[in-house]
Amino acid sequence: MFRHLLKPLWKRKSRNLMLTLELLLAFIVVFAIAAASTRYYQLYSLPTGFAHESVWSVQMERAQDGELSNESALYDQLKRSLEAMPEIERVAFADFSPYVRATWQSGVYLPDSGAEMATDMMHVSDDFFAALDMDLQQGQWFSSSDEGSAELPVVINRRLADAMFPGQDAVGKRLSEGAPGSDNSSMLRITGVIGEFRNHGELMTPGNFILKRFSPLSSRHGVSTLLLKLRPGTGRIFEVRLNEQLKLIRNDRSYRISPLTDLRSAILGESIIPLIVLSVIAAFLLLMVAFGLFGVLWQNTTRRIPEIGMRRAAGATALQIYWQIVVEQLLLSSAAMAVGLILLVQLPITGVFGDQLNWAVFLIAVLVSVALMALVSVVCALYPAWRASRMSPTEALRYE
Amino acid sequence: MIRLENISKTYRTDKVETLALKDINLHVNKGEFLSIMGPSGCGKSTLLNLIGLLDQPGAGTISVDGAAVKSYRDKDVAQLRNQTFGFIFQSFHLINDLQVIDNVELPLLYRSLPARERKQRAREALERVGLGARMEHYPNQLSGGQQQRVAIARAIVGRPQVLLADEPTGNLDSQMGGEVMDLLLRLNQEGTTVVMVTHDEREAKRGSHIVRVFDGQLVS
Repeated sequence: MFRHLLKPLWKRKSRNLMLTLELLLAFIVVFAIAAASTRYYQLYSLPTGFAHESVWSVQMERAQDGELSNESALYDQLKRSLEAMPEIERVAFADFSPYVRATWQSGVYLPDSGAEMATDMMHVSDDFFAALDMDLQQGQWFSSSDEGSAELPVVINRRLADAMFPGQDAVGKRLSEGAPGSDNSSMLRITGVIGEFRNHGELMTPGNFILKRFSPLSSRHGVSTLLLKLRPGTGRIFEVRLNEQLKLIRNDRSYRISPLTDLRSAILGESIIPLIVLSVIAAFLLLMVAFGLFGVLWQNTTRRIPEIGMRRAAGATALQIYWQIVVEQLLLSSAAMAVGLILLVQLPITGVFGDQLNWAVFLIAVLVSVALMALVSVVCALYPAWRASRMSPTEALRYE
Repeated sequence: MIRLENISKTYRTDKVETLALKDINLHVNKGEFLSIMGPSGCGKSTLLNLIGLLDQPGAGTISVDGAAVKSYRDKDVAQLRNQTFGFIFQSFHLINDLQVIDNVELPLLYRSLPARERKQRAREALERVGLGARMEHYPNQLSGGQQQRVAIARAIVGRPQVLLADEPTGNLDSQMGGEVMDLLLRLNQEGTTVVMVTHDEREAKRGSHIVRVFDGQLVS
């Protein structure tokens, strides 16, 4: 029976070509959206490595741009003054806040072998880990006891530790910033290892990360972001008082105060809005394909009404006719999807999109897009199939 | 074999009611070649459709092999059509996208038969109609007469007891028509009951029995 359905479809291949191409295009678009959504979901499910609740970011902006020098007195004053406010539990400093698009990427080297690894990095103060409620997997956080050390204390994430020191304990190991032996190389000493740190938030692709110690006393460069851990129950109204307090400390700067919750919503929105726009476009495309499919199926079944009459005369039941039309449509869609799959499977095989299109994402996206296309095909075939099956054999045989 | 008792059939549209057949009583004996004649629109094709259970009578009873058809449930009549009847149409109704052998195999698809047996039976049927060499052809590669012979092969592949032919030579020239008639007569002589609708008096007379329909009624 199956062969009998396939044969005419193959014979009608030139007539079915445009429809198959349309189905193929729709399948690829649906796959792309499904893959992006799956990847986002996969990323969203991973830990960011920090807690954003009750943390506010304060961006200190100067009137003039230029390299930020370390004003240790200012940092000390900010810390003491702000921690004296009852609403503030802890004050930390960093190059930039989590949930902003800022990135600092550089290479680090193994001092002995010179093996290089690219990594994201940022300077953070000793209180950063506590302010963001971060968990340590190995070793210890850097602290004031590391002050004066010749090698800059750093905390690295598990991914970087495993890449640089596979099968070894990374704590206590050294990394070189700048190629070993070069004039500008400086040594980093690993004090601890954290699981993950994705500063851009839930939709950031996991990567290597180094958190370097910022010391108000000894760091050469300053940092421009304060991270304030607030006591539970502190409302947004506190922003006014906080700004006044900051202005009292240093009036020549402006301060942009943002709860991390707001920054998180903004960055998630930035990532998701293009996906939503694409999804709307894909939905319209799918609707157009569905209309086209319905029209072609209607035309096909109309043209085949005498054949349907003959099949009824030969002993086919109405139900068998109904399923024949639906299955034929599914076979046609399957042919388009098979071609699509042959093309799409090259993406994870060649790794052209890296981890963004890993096998898990690919398989889920394939399942979703196949199911959706099959559903559209079946829904479009239901009415023409019902109409064909409802015709009496004599009516169908007489149809011209 | 087939008995029609007090059969009437009315077609209804929104505004018009047309009486197609009225009080038809007819008995088709096993092994006979019955020709149904009558002018266009007199109801002879409707009668053939009712005999073949392609349509349901408005009133009356149809019996097949002594059993009255009580339920016109789709599944039941489909099975009866498949097992008992073979249909031949004026316009052949072959599927142009299927090869000749696949066209012939078609009624067997609605039976639980293994593919190998279906193929074997289709080959045999084609050989019986003299088209053993045309199995891999497509219908549009054949002449009209050959196409009708394919349709006959399709009708006999299920080894039905009754062949129902609706003007089987209507689309053929006299030579091809003659060949098709010869074939039907041969099948009849081999034991298959044939009921044929025709306009052609000469063809009708080649059968064993003629009934005439006029204005929806049997007149002889």
